[in-house]
Amino acid sequence: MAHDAHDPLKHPEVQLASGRAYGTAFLIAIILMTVALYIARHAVDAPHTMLVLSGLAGLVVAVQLVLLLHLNLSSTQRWTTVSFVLAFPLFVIAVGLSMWMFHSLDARTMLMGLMH
Amino acid sequence: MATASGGMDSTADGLWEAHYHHDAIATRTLGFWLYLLSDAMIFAGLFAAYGVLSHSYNAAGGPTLHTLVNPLSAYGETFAVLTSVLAYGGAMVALKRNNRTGVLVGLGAAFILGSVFLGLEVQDFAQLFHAGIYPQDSGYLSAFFALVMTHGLHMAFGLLWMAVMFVQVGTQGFTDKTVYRLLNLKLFWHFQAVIWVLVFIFVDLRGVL
Repeated sequence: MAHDAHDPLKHPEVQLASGRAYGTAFLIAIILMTVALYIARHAVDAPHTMLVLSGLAGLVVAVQLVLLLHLNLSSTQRWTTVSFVLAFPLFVIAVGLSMWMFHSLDARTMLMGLMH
Repeated sequence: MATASGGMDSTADGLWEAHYHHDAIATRTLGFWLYLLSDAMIFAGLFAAYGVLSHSYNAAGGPTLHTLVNPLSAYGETFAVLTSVLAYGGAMVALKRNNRTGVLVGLGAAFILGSVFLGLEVQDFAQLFHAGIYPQDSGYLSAFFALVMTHGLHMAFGLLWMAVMFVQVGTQGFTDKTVYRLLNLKLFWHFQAVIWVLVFIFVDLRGVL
């Protein structure tokens, strides 16, 4: 074919791989997940514990998205990032609104009086 | 590029390619990424159902998260997933350096660690079933099992794909096709690790609290 001289290993998607990025992502994820396990097992019924754990999860996911899935604005990765940014609100809406809707049903309907 | 038109090698395709340098690897990687984002919508739906149903009211008097989860086993599974991703990363660095043995070693290590994850998870499920806890017992349990098992099923398919790539890289080496498949499997495997972090925090550790 026309481009038979090319080498697939020279492709920017292949050249993205970085041992340092993998090592950093691994260490951050392991450390933060260990901290999360410790917090969960030693929590003294603090109301904000789940909030702290959610923050740790968000942090690890962000690190994975940037270091492992290479979401950035470089010319080869731009559309990967754009598609993620466009899809992300859908995840927030699907999970967030469903939970908010059902968890506030009690207060916003008259079921409360019927159930108790 | 030999694979650009997916086998339909008409003159028109050839001209189009010669003109626009159709980049099959980039196109297929972005296409697979878009699939993963739609797959993420399935997980968003499952997390939403779990978020709504994981209230003791929906457990119908049956077991709740506190009895269902085993945090130490889940931590072991987390360790296995993250190490497996690291091993796959080793394979990707070896691919960049045109090192076929390195890719095979990385793939093999990622496969073994992924199997460790799946083994631990199957053991957890077996213990629940042994204790007479089944998905159909309550809405709470259905949501819990559906979420965790969907992730486990993805991991199983990832392992199958990895085994196939091990054979293909071993027999065919680095062609356009094997390279873009390795890149897509990379996205798939890293994506499952992202989902697992969310499962670990919002299912397993939430159950400990």
